[in-house]
Amino acid sequence: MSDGADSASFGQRVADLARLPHRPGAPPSPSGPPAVPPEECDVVVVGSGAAALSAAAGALGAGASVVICEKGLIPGGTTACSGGVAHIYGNAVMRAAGVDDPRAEALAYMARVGYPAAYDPEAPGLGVPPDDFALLEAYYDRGAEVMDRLGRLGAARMEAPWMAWDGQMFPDYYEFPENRAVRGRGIQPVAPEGGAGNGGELVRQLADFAAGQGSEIRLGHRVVDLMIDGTEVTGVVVDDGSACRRVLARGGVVFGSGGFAHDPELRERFLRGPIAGASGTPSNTGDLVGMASRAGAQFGRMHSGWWNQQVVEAVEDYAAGVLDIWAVPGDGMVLVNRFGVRAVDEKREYESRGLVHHVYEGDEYVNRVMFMIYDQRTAERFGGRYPIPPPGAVADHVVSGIGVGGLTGALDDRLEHRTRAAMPPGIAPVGLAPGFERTLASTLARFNTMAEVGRDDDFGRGTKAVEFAFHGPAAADHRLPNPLLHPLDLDGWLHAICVVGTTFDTNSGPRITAEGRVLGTAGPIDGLYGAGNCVDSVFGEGYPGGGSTIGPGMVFGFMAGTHAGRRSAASSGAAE
Amino acid sequence: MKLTYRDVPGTALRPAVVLHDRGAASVDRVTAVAQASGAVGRVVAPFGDYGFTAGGMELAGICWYRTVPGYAGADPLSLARAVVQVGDLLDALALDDPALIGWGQGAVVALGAGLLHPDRVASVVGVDARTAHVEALPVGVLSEPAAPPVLLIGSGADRGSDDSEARLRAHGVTVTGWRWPGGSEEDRDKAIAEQIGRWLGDG
Repeated sequence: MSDGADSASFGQRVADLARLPHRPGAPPSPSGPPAVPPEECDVVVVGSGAAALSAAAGALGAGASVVICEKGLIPGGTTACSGGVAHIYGNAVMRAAGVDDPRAEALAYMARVGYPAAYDPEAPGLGVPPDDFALLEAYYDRGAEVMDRLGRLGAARMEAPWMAWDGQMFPDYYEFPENRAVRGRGIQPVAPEGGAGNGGELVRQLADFAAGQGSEIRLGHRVVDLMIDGTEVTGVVVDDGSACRRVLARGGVVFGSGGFAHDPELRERFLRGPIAGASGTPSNTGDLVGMASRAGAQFGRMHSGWWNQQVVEAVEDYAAGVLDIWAVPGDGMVLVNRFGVRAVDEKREYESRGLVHHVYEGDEYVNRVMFMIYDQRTAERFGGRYPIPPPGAVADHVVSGIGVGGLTGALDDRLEHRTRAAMPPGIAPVGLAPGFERTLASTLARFNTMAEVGRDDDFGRGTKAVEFAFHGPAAADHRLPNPLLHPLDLDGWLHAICVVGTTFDTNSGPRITAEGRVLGTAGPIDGLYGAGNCVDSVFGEGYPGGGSTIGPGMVFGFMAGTHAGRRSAASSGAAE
Repeated sequence: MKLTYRDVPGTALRPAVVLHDRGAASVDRVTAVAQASGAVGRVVAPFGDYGFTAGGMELAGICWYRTVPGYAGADPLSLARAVVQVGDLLDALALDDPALIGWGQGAVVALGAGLLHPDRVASVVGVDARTAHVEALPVGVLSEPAAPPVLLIGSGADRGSDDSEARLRAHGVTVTGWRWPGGSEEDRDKAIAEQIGRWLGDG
């Protein structure tokens, strides 16, 4: 590495090269000359992902004039890095396919996933706190309707089913008995050429609609402060990179911006557990947190996020395109902790795998760093599926050794000499526990026995639809009963990849009402709205299925924008 | 060093770093074309570590940077990331006077890394470097005063590479343009390899 690499982080060098304005912690530009009069509009929308642009569509549909401010240089936020899936109950695709999604069972599913400790099918509101249960009801009752209205407006065509590789609709992440509609709740935008589009396509549709109504996204425009009159939010202060200017919003300000996952300080302050970083868009630095505090907002579960896993060597703040481990590839593969013990069904969705890193047991976060261990056959069969490198590649993030003894020695050496420099901020290096080699040998022997009979008695791997959807087709040489389990060859090369718990983005901030209004201590704050990852998640601490981030962002964003647009019309009507 | 790469030994001729287009299959193709040129020895083939999610979720997508659907260009931040990564690779492997040979997405990354590190790169070959993506190259790259010579190879039907040539010339880069012939993919790759061989040989 050059001196440059030592003196500045990778992420900082990328930001420097791209000449990014508005780095985290950068002071706002000097204020504009006082003579510049404030701009006026009906509704200010902050951000340009699915939540923000759905808010813009709602406001524009209500006849409002809208100013959209995006602090990044490209539109779309974390939505643009995604598959563009929205998790919507009783959506049009399900109706067309004849899939029934009854209300009581859907609410029970959401309550059980989002409020696992409080959930009680016999209790009023299923044990969920009343305000939160009202949000779940609103989400069920209004979700499909909002998608239909976005379609009728011409803002977004959310009519394509999210399909798995096997031609089935992608399943939800949990198969509780309460879940009567395991497949079909994920929908995507219809691409211009037909078929399903991704998050970029969703952003394109929503942005084109807004632009067609006269609201172009203003890139590089960072909202740095709220204008507050008494208890009412009346506008924003925007930094365009050269100066700060005021924009008055007669109807209100809707935040559809990101969470705070890329701000190490806010992460450290709010999140419990060893959270190493984030894979969402790098501008998710929690700008709303400070502004909403000043406006007197109530905050929700600030410890909450959309969890996932990343390779230790890949973690970095404030650089684009950090890959999470979307699915752990391989059949002859296990995840073990520093004691050599499995802790999770490795083939589950990212949220469950991410959460296992937060477990505190005995005297430590036992799964702070986990090791993805696989054999040479798996390396060859699944090479090229991140994070298993393509066959024949030199890969710094892979540690290899022959047999369990060889691998243990190589891993020990890596942890001793290499990992300290490679560890993400806030995560101290770990070493293997005494006895790791013996325990790993017995873990793998047990795994191999279970793989032969096709039944994972410890974690039920290979019993859930979602695992198969993430795994893809069985390996061509797989001849055993369970395609997700294959014995590892313990005499040949074994490989290990160090993995930490991370997040797509956090999913909390101010609490909102069912209309997307931000709650203050004495009820909703006039003129302040929020939706998406910058506000408290409707799903509590859960992730019911693919699209759990974009779905509520769009639904509550649209309702917030509509409310703000109508509020502006009502106030100007009253003034006339 | 965050990149994963293949390292294929060769003759004592100048080494090449080959930079693939979207998808894993492109790695083999650009490696084969570089070797067939007869003008390079050792070939290092890094893998872009950006996944792509066309039409939903692609498990095995290997990209250098994100393109923004519906918008002409690349995401400048992810492109800057790729350029920094390739610079780090040149440092880490201490390659002697390498040629950078890139294809599609990789062509744009090769141009970025070559312009940013003129002292460490002998020459840059870009095949099918789309103009809209070249325009997304980080400002910091295009403000570098010196640059290695560049060969741009593009399709005759697509004005894209002509525009890329003009854009690079406007920044003072010495560019040779060459249009690939029609015919089968196999014939075209052969012709491209020969052209690369001639051009690197002349240099």
